[in-house]
Amino acid sequence: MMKQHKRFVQNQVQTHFSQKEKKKYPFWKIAMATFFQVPDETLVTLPVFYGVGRHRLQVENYSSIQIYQEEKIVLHCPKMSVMIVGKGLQITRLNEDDVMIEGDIKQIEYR
Amino acid sequence: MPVLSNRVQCLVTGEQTLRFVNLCRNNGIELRHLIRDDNALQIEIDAKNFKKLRPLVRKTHVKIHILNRQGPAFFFYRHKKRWWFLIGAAACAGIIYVLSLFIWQIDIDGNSKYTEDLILQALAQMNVKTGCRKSEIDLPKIEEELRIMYNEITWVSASITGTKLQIELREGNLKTSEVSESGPADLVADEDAVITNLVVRQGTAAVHYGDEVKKGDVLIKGRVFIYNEDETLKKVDYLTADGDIYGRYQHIYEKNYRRKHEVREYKEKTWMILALEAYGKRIQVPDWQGIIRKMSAGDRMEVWSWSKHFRLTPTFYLPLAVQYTEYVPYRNTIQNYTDDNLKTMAAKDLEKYLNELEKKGVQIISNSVTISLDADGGHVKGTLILDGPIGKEVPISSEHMASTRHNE
Repeated sequence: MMKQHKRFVQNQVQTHFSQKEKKKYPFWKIAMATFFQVPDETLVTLPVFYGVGRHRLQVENYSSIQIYQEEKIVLHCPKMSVMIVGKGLQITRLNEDDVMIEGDIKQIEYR
Repeated sequence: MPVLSNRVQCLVTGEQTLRFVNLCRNNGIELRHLIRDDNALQIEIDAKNFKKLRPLVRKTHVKIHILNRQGPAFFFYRHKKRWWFLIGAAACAGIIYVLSLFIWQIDIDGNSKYTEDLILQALAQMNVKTGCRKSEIDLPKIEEELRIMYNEITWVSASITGTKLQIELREGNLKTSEVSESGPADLVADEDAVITNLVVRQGTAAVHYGDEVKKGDVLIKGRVFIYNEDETLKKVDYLTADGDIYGRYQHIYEKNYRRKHEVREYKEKTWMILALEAYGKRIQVPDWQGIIRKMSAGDRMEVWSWSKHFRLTPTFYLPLAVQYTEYVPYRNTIQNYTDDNLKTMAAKDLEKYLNELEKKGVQIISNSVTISLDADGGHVKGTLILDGPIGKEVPISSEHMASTRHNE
């Protein structure tokens, strides 16, 4: 009963994993950016990856960390989740703008 | 992350450590080196952000244990009772700062004609010497004064890096062939030879292929004869003869080697003296060995000395230098070369001489040099038949030119 109360529903925190949000991949914004020949990330908030070999990865525009393990790190980003699989993974820097991951990175998977 | 930042290493334990991390991120708190260990998480955080964690800790019900504190603020707090150490560190920093205001080393590069001492003297006249203040040095003035004082200096650059004054200079090129630039000249044979090759670039050829020439004969005349249509001489233009004249000539190679020679014999113990030099003053350890040691008539001494200038960085020299002097006593003894030694020496010298000739473009046609040995030593003698350039420039005298003009 309590969970159905409208006040409870209003205050309920929207999780990032709702199906509704996942479907909204901004293809039209990407198309616009391509048409006007401007970088995609200026029009659309999407994760940006900078990698050095396979030992360092910097991810910009992430929202939160969902899973943090030595073999797997899952980052929640706008419109998607990113899973980084590897060995001895460690977050060496984490701030509002980006997260730096170091270790033996084997796989990057978008969900 | 600055190297001298104050940072705290702490262990976060509890159920919601990841939520704590995400909240830190949302509140603009930077975390570094996150190490996961089951439910605990080790993090590193700036000391100034540490107080901001309190509301987040309350919200997520995690516990924080401080593992380590690093940085200058913590260091000074930890050593606040050792005030003498802090005063020492401050004094050291002050001394380094004061030393950095002066010049402690002068380097001179690119000089060949003017010695370093000469240039240092010139700098001393401008009140620029080791120990002078950097702010008092006028670099453009030094460059200008050096160019005025020494005519041969064509370019000077003075610069200060750290506590080092660097002077780079270029000296004017000395004229190598004054004869050719001063006036007309003939190309004259410097050996008795048979001409084997002849290329004339400037002047009139006086010899032909296969001619025999004596030493001093003109090979290329440094003049060009201009004739009228009726084949009478109109005028003579004088110039510097130029060309490649190759000739086959004989060269006598002779060298003598003495069997007896002096050899240094090091038998006595060497000793060294250390000295400390600071701003022109020298403090030296007394030379007890030199005082005690009795010198006999045949004793001689090799003195090896070098100094090491102290510096903090490659350009931050300090007014301190260590001088290391080593005394090596020796005695000259007379020894005899063996036959094998003499032969080897003679063969090596001959080979070196022949290699030098080949480098000059001289072809060795035949070699009949022999090595003979006797009681006194070795004698190397023989004839080399060579094929190479045989011309040298000889200036034409002004009287000769005047007489020729008169005949015209």
